[in-house]
Amino acid sequence: MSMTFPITPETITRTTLDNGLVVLVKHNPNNASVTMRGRIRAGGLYDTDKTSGLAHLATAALQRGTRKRTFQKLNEELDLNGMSFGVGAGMEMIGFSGKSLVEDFDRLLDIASDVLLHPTFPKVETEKLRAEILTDLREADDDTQHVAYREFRALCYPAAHPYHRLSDGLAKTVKSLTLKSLADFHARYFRPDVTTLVIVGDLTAKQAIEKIQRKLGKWKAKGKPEPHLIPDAPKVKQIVRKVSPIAGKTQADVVLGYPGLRRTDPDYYALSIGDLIFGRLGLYGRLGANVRDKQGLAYYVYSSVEANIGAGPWAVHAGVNPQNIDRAVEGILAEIQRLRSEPVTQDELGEARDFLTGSLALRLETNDGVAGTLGDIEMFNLGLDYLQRYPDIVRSITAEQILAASQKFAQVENYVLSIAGPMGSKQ
Amino acid sequence: MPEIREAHLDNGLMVLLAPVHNAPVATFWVWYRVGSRNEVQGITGISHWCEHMMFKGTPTLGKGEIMHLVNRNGGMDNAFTSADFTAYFESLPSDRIDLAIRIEADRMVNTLFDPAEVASERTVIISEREGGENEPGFWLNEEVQATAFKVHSYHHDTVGWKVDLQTMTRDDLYNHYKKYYAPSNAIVVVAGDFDADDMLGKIQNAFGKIPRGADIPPVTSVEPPQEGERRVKLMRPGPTSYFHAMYHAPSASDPDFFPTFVMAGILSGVGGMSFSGGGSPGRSSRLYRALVETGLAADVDCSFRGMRDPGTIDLTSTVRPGVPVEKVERAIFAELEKIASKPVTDAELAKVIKQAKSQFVYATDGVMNLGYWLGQWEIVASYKMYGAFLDNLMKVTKADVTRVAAKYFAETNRTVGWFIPTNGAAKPAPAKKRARKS
Repeated sequence: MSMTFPITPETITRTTLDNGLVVLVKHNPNNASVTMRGRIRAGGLYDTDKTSGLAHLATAALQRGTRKRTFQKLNEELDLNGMSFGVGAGMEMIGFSGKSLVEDFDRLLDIASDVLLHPTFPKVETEKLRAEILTDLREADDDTQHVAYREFRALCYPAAHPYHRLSDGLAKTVKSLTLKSLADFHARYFRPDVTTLVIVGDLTAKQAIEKIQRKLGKWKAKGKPEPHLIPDAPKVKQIVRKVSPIAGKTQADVVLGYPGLRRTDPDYYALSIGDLIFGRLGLYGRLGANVRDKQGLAYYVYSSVEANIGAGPWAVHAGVNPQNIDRAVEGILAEIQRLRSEPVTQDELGEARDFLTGSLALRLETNDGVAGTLGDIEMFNLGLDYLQRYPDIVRSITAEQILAASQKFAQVENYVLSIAGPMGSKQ
Repeated sequence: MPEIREAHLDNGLMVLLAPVHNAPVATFWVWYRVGSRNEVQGITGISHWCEHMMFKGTPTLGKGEIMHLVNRNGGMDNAFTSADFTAYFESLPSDRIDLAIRIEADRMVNTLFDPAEVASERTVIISEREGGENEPGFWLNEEVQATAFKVHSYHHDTVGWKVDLQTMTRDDLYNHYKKYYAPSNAIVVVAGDFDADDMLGKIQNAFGKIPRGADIPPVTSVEPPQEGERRVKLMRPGPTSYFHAMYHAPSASDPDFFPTFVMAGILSGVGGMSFSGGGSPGRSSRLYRALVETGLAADVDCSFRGMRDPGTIDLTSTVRPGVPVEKVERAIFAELEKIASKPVTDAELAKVIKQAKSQFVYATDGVMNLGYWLGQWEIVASYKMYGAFLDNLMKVTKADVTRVAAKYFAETNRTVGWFIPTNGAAKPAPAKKRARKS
């Protein structure tokens, strides 16, 4: 199979501006548009239990009014030019993204710099936003998937750990956030020297960098950036189970899992390839074969490894009828036990390797695909030659390494199980 | 827009080929002209269930094997069922695309519908429906849709009524498959890195021997004109109230389609042209300004898409807790009356055109969307509409928009649904008491 790599040291230009902003550019002449993606190393990890949701609200509020534009004017400008621009905070990162036709890129960049550098937090608009977020939270409280996961996180990570909470916050905390705290958050955490900007589209690197220098070159930061760290998470030492009743639902959502590992952990490849086999390849991997295909207990049952700056969870997610919860959990635990007891077969390993290396072309076909991967490469310091090394990395992982990683991160005697749905809390 | 090559095999199979050589990938689709519109009470959900069974094996391909084979070859695959069609696709590195041809030609005729597999899949499908039942919007849509359509099979949701899922038999399913899964009822669409002559030859070899089969039973049902407003209320536990007004709309091949598309774009922004959604945020649109900026609703949308038979225009909204649904209804209807009586502006027209143009360009990044839209358009009207889309949009005048608004937003044409939460969630939080100074 021929290998072409859309990302190589030769095809990507990486530059650092004087103010520390890192810019990555890939010229794609095949589509008359530009995709812009940015990441700022800040987010919900800086929230406390009293300010949970601050990063989320403050970041969403940037667009509600800037030095040059009211919220209405900004929206009009985006819609009129068929562009999109958005910015939002997650736990580890604040991400911003935009899309425009090539001829509108200057305008998109102007909007981006206006929003990121000069938000004004107008009271009326920001309160409207707060009300919208409170409605979102109210709907989330009624959502079995959301509640199951939220409670899982709270049980999986101690109260002092950022991952104990979701970055959206809770109604109580979001209601209490002051306008001043939003502006303070912006002033403290939005800096060029913790920001990466990725441009993929019909622009040469020279053109892109020139334009970015003009609009964002004057962005300055004072002092030093905040440390961007997430502490370790202790292992789960018992079976922890919680049921969150929600009225009026037909289905229950189940999350069963553990704290996992960081993206930079040496076990990352072994665990994520194991996870592919366990809960994703084919129709949800071994989990799907057992719990969906064989037993017919769930339409979806899958696993994921959330490896980031911090050790996000490794967890199984399933939607099941309440009368099938026990059987589904049994099936999940049986598959975990199996993964921990015997090495995966050579056939399974071969398929996983072939999928990961073979699907690169598909995953990197579009501007969005390339931009996303470039963002990861920069965030985790993988190197611009990462894709070229990737097939060898994948092929080097053995069944024994997967077995060892599974045993390290999963047990059947200790786990967190969170269930949300139409049950009484005694279930 | 790449050149599309159209071909027809002797057995009636239609083939659309769109070679694009930007990346070494290709996407292979088979679109069957069967969906929930072909279903009657007692077997609703059957087309969607057949779609599930298509992954459960042929004599050559074991159960579950298809997805594993595709993954092993560096690809991804999936399928989906709608009111008008059932579509299957594989996206693969271009040098592996033959696998897709083999799989699709095999399962078009040889899917086993093993009774044990049907039995175990029954609970999976019911589980899929039950996941939907967790959403207030699912209940409301089902209620409104079943009220708006008395006669035509757009009446029920693609997933089907639960009782039908519980009672349908293996033979029902197998007969449905035999009836509708025929080359004369299918379109093969291929987009990506391949040679058209070579691909056509391979398709001929793989599919050419499949017999044409009996004539496909047509859908003869026609929804009679709605002659008065219909209303439904749904009272269930939920986080807030929801609003849904459904209006009968022109089909994709109706001359009113493009003016209606523009009208919807002015009301709430132009939807994404890509398979994975996207679209303009639409926050400068009339409905956003009237409902969200005023604090009445958390969101509002005017949705309209091309359907094979006359479908619907849907006005949906999440009501802010504490706001009576009536207020949201009045505000939405005020906007509909306005667009039906006063001409829209040139600027609004231009905005829709620009949004659609940009969406089109974004959607041509990658070959998935091309495969998707060619198939989708061919099902509902003609694949040629995809290439002609922007030209047709640009012909729409302000007068056209006013005309279709007046026609389709008539009170007699609407079905209005309210979802009222029974756990008191619609009410505002009680005001805090304050000590008074005497």
